[in-house]
Amino acid sequence: MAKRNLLSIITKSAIYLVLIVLFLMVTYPVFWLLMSSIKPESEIYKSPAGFVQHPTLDNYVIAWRKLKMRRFFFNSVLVSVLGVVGTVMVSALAGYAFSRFRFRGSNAIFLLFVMSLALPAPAIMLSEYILLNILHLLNTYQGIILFYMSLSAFAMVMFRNAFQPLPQELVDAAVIDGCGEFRLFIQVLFPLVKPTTATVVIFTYIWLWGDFIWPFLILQKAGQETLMVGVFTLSTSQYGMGWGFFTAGLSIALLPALVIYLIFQRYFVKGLTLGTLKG
Amino acid sequence: MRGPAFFLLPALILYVVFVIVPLCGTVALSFTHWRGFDFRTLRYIGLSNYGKLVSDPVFWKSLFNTFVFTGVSVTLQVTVALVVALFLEQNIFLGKFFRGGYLMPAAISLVIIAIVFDLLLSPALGILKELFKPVGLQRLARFGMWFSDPKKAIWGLSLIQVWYGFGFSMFIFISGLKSIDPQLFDAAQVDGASGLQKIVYITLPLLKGTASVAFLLATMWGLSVYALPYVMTRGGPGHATEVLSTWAYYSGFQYQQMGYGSTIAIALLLLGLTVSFLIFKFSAIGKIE
Amino acid sequence: MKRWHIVAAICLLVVGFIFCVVPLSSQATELTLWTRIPEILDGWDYIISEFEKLHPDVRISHRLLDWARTAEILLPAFAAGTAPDLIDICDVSIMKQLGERRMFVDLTEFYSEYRDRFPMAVDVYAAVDGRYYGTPIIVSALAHIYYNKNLVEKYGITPTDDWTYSDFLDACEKLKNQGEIPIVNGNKEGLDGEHWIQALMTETIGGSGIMALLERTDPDTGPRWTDPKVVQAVQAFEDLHKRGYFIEGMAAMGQFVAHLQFAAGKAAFHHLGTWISASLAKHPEFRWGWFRFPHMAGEIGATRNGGVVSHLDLITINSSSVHQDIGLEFIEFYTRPEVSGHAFYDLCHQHPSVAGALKGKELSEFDQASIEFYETCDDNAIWFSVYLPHEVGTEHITRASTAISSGELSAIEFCKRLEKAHQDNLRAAQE
Repeated sequence: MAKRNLLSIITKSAIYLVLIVLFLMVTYPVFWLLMSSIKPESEIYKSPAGFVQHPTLDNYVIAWRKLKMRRFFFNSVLVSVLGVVGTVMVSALAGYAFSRFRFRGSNAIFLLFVMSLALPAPAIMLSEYILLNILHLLNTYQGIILFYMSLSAFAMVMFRNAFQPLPQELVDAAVIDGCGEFRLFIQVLFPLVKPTTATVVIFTYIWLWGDFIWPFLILQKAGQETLMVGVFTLSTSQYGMGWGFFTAGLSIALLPALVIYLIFQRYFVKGLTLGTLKG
Repeated sequence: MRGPAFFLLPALILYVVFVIVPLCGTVALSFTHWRGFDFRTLRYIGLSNYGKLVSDPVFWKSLFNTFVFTGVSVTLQVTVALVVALFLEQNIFLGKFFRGGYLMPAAISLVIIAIVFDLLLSPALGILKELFKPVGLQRLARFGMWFSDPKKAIWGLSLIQVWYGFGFSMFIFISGLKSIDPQLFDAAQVDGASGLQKIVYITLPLLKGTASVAFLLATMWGLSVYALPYVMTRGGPGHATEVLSTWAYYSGFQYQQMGYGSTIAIALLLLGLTVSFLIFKFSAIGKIE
Repeated sequence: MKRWHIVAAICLLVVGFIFCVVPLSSQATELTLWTRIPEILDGWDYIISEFEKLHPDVRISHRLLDWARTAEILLPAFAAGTAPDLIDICDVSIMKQLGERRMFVDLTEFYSEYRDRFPMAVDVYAAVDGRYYGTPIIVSALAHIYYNKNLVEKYGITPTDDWTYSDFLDACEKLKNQGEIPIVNGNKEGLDGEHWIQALMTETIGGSGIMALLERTDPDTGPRWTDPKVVQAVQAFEDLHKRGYFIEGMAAMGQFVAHLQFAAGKAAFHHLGTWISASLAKHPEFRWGWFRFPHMAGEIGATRNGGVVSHLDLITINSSSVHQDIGLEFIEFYTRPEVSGHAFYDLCHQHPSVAGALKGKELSEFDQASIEFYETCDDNAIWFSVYLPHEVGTEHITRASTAISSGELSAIEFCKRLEKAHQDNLRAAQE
């Protein structure tokens, strides 16, 4: 009996150790970034890895002003928020269609959408640029948002899996009440998949906020750059700056997505557990 | 008729216009020789670009790198994710806290991750050295040197991808674990099975479907990886971390061989689809229960 | 009932917003300017605001491009017809391609009127087949090695302009034996490696030798990259690695990181162009000096004053622009010595290309040394990777130098591959 307990204590300790070490490994880079951004320049050189001794917000102020971050921030918010709304609309509708209707070719079309998950960016970069230009959507927020909406396959899968298990009785009851198809969707069924919606919102938001490939290509007018593009350009710019300023800029870009994630974590979990299982 | 069409049309139209059409454009480009800038210089050359793929050493190098990157990152990612999911299932104190932490990397933009790791691992800045010296693990600080080693660089990138992706795979496993009927465990308990035995004989077999999903998603993601090598190592040193998507980009946009670059991209897409199809077919996806 | 209305209303609002976000149309004529050097942003801001004051109905919209990716951004822009009115071109191979196709406004007349503003060294960057397409912005040179005064004084090393290459190697050896880092450069982007090779080749075959190689038209005759003197230069670069004089991890270290390491006093020597004096000035506590790239005894470069005098970035006018006349006025405006001088020197501490821009200004010792070099360089070459087509220069010199730094590629193999690629390229061009 005692042996069993000892073994279980050792096992549990080992498990904790692994979990803690992993946790530190996962969080340290973010910790380092945020720490560096509030360290004065001299401290960064002296002790780059550890805690800050004389915290200062100067770096943030400089970064915000000098890098014209207000504009970039606004652009990122605009593109992300509208992109999320658009994606949810489009993918919820499509996911619903796949789950509730059996029509010829539904599987084929579904697979066609899923194919986009394997799509590498360079495969459509130049063509996309030219297409958007032909459609007069280049250098417009509308253009990039519509583009993002077209890549909502993952969200579609999640919605499909979320709508599938909803009971037929609800549908029958609503139909008897004289409910049209669209009303059925909007009023009855869509509200039932809130966790999935939350997950899609967070996922999409995080993806759009952090994407730099497409805004870089599609939003080329001065003043249209999103935060990530600004950060990316910053990282390749040459000899003009110090660490504090740089890490503060990176932090400004990082924090919104991170904060949203931390706040809405629990919805994330619920939605993911429902949606990802059935391939 | 308010059938499926109404609901499906928006997504379908958008998809066809913004994805399928450009894709066709890229395919068309792959049959041409074009140095960009001016459409008047575009020339049709049939399958020459595809032939060039075969004789291009950098293509093979990047194909190899793509496989190494995907293979290493997916294997490690899925394994670590499974182990951690199993651990967390044991009703750990602060379990939810850990779980939230492990998924956090997925909330960070890959651009930022690439830049931060580039600085963090840089031997010159010595951050790792400062961290590990007090615990006597200085050797670990040498990890940053992997990126200047032509053979180890791609492994280094794979590990960063694992850091980024294992949280997500872990979630897939957690949801899979939650759907296992607890009665099965109770029955085994009655039969006198130990904790480890329960895992090996009940949990793992039932997770096959979940594992396949995790595997598939991680593989699709790994094959088409672009931002990480592009921002962190630029495909270098030499072509040590060149993967197919970055080589497609560089050939096309930097070396002004838009036709050839398109060919590489199409080759990558076909590779991704083939591998995904194979995984789908030969795995337990959709065959749960 | 209510919720359904709310949802529908929100959807309509969003959809409406998406399609109604239209920029306010202005009465002003708008020109777009794309440049790529972050260090002179303040300079452009000044020039633009002054120009707009002189032309109240004109607005210039300025976009800063990613420094290393200008060509990649311009390619689709030109293809789709969305290239800006005024473009900073930093690539002679692209200048040639687009100039030949008359996609830039011909500035030959402008040059004949304002020739006194532009030194002769500008021509190789700005002209294609005798016609001028761009005006230069700032000048810089590759001619010096910088050193950390504190560090070298500590070991009694005194670098001078008369140092030979062996003196330099001896100093590195001494430093290495004392546990110091002799040379810091970051070769992730491949540029530092390319610059080293360029400087070494200037010693072994001279700037004129380099130009002869770059300007080859016949794959079968003339100088080759596999000629012994060329291989010798590349081997000298490889040798620096083998002797352990470069900082560890150089192959994966960014240029920017390496530069900050130097400014933080971590190493003795640093090889880069004259443009860094502005950034070094931001570290006032750091004591630094410079010396001319050391000559190799007995080699061609020893009797010459060679290097690279670079007017790399040029402003061109897109020939599809509908505002070419204003573009010309803009070019005339910023190339006025007093305007360039104030914008690029006073505000950004860079050296304007325009002649006379620095007249009467207080110059630091290094500024004076740089200017002396710009004026006395008699063996000027151009950067490899901007002159050659990218699939030859960038791939087989810039990128390949990172493979040398990582130990994957030998000097001889480097030269062989470069030669083959260049020959293939020349042959393809002949068809």
